[in-house]
Amino acid sequence: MRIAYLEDEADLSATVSAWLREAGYDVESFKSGADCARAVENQRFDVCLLDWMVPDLSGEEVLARLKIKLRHAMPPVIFATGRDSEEDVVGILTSGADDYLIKPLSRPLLLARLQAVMRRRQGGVGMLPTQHFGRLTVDHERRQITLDGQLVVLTDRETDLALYLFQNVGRALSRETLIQVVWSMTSEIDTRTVDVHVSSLRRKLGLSPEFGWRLVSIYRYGYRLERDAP
Amino acid sequence: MAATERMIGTLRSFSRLRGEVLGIALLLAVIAAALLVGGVSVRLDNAVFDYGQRLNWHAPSADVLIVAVDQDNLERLGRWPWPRYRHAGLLRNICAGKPAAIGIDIAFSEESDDPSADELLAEAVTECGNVVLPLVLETSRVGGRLLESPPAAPLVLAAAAIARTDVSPSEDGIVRAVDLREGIGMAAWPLMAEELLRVARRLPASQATLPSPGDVSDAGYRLVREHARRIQFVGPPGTVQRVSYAEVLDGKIATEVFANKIVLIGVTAAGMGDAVTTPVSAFGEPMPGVELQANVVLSMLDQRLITPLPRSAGVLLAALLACIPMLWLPRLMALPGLICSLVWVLVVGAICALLPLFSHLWLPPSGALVAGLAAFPLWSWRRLEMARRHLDQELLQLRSVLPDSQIATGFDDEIQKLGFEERIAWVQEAQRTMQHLETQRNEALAFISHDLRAPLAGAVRQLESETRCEPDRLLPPLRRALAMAQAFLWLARAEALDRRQMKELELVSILHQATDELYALAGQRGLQLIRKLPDETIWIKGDFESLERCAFNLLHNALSYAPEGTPVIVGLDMPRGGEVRFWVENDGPRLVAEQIERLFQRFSRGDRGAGKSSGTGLGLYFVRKVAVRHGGMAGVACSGGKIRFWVRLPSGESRNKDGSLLRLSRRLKAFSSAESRAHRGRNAS
Repeated sequence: MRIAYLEDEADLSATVSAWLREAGYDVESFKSGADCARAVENQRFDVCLLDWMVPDLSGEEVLARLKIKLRHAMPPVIFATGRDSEEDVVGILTSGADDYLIKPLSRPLLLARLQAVMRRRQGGVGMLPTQHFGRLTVDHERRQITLDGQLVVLTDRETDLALYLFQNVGRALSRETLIQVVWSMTSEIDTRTVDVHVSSLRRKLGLSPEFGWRLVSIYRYGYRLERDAP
Repeated sequence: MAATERMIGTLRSFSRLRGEVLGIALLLAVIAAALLVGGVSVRLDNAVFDYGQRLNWHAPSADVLIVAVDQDNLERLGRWPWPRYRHAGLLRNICAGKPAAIGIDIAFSEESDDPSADELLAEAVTECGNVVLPLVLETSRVGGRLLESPPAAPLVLAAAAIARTDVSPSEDGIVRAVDLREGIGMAAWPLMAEELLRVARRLPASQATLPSPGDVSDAGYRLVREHARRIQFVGPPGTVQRVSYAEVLDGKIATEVFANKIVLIGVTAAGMGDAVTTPVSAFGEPMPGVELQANVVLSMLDQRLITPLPRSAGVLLAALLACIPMLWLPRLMALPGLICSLVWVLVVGAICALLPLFSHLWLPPSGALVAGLAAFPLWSWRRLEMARRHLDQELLQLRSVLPDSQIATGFDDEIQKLGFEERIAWVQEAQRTMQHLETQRNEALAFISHDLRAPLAGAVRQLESETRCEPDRLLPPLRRALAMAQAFLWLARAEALDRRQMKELELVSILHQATDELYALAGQRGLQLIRKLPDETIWIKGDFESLERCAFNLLHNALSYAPEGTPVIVGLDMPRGGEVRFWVENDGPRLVAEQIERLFQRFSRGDRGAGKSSGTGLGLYFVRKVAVRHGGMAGVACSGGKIRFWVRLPSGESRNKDGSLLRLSRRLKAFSSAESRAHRGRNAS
């Protein structure tokens, strides 16, 4: 697994590179956005971890350039940013990043996000017929979810939404994506509907830290289902 | 760079100012010129002229003598007209004294009933040899045509000269001027004064060489007047020396009196003859025509006849004078400008009134005077306009700087509706807000320099010390500094919140999320986190991150202060229609009112937490700030050993049936706040 890491702060770069190497990744770190973009264009990288604020070419500009040059062959991109305001985060995600991390970085969170985007790269977990998460069992083939062995009664839409969320654990999913996948149409539908369904899933499936889950809403951008405990 | 921009800005405003000055100067010039050309302000001109004339008293000249037919004479000698032999007798008596010239201001146009009397008079005139007889311009009784009526034939032959005695009154009926030449079809007839002087050989050279009348082929039977001059009067009626006709006739006056004098004979009795009003006729006392002729003679003799400036030159000069106030108005403040303008008007008036006396020129001052008076209000108007523009710009700039900034385009229209005083009030209001912000910034600086620096400085000191220090001792102050910086950032964001830019969001999920975030911490502290949140979604208008941070702060506080093993409950209810309230409850001692107030203040920490390193003193202040910015409130309630911190927010929709009532009450509230704003505005102005 090769990671392109763009970070202009030397100390931080060294620390994070060490974390990643220990986790078994092959890391190449860059101090300049232009260098990083050139390298990713010419060599094969599996993931890009980009700092938002870099002197020469900002992370955002690197992302825009890669999108133009590589198109579908583009590796997943995670942003590390010091700015955590809603505007910035939604800006990062809508400009095409797969996920974001707020500085200061935490090692477990970084690795979890990396894994999540890698899974997507490898085709996701959609192929899996059944997933087991502690008390929850998700059967994708039969489209059933059981809690402590009891079948949870969900509406069709709720089931669709739940199955999609479980397929993409750890990934930031935009409202538009959810509407397209679950309701099979573009934002004709009231975005409130998504929140109503997510809210009822949280309740019915117990998606809370008590059971090792966190269903995070990313401002008004979308949702991310996170698994705390294995 | 900035200096260049500033300079360009100054230049631009300077050139705009210059444009304004030129514009107003042009307007003033046009006003002055239009007044003169249109003749609207002739009365003002005349008033100034008359005032000047009244200032001017000459010693009555002894060169001219009037032989007056006064009231007494009429009573003694009988009804007018008198027989002409009487005039012949008078002439003989006068001629005996060898006068320089004699002018008779009595019309002899028609032959009298007694031809011998006419002959007698003609003889007397011939004997004298220096008698000037009048020519009368009159309208014929039939047909109304103008006629030149010279004296009867024998008299014409006898006279030394024939001349006019008529004058040309101004529009207001006051006689100020005479025409040196006049006539029907051709301005051929001179004034009696001129002919008298010529006969007496005392005519000044300048008068002797008047240009001859121009080509008059097209004049027909019109009256043609040329060479208008204003008279400089020697004084009020009666100033010129008079002797009584009857006394001269009776030989009671020594004939030496007439030696080398210019003698004018005419009627001065009131109600008779051709008395006219003049600038010097005080108290409505008219001047007899003969005395007016005497005044003309005196003016001409001393070369004091006043020449009016040619019309075009007068207009041009008035236009120039009109622009002069613009030399000082842009440089002076309002009061000195006003004083200068008034002084200027007085000076111009005085100069124009005195000009005829000293240089025998007449410049109608009304254009310059009116323009001088108009200059101040006009310039003040432009100044106010400039001030208004400046205020508007200032307001727009302040608006864009202040946190409650609105979309500028809408605001532009709003400004247009304001009055001048309201604008001032708005700017003052904005300035106050700026001052308030300044105070806040200073507080923030004080906070950074003290609260934030202290833990960092402590950490640095420890790191610099000889002995290697424990990370455990180093971490708490650093964490505290970080938390403070973070809290401060949050606060800055909360202060910038704008209700108008808030979007719809789901409150319950926010509370869930904040609870999720602190679940791990609760576990570590051995506390139970309980959610009493509704199943359905609740929508409000708000700011996602600051609301989440509110819930987080409240929960974090509760987790910090709750005794171990007790539950911390997060809940949400709707106490009233149109409102939602979320709260966090934990076990704890009752708080007194004073403590409660202090809790929500800036940089204050609850007594309980004073020793704890993690408190920033900004948490609850932030919560209240966010609640207020959302149009709600934050508070605390204690009962039964529980402390409950709550945040009340206006809900996006009212599910009650009496929604209309709610809307109404909201509208009422908006109205009353608008009213109070207007009231404030009034007070400020």
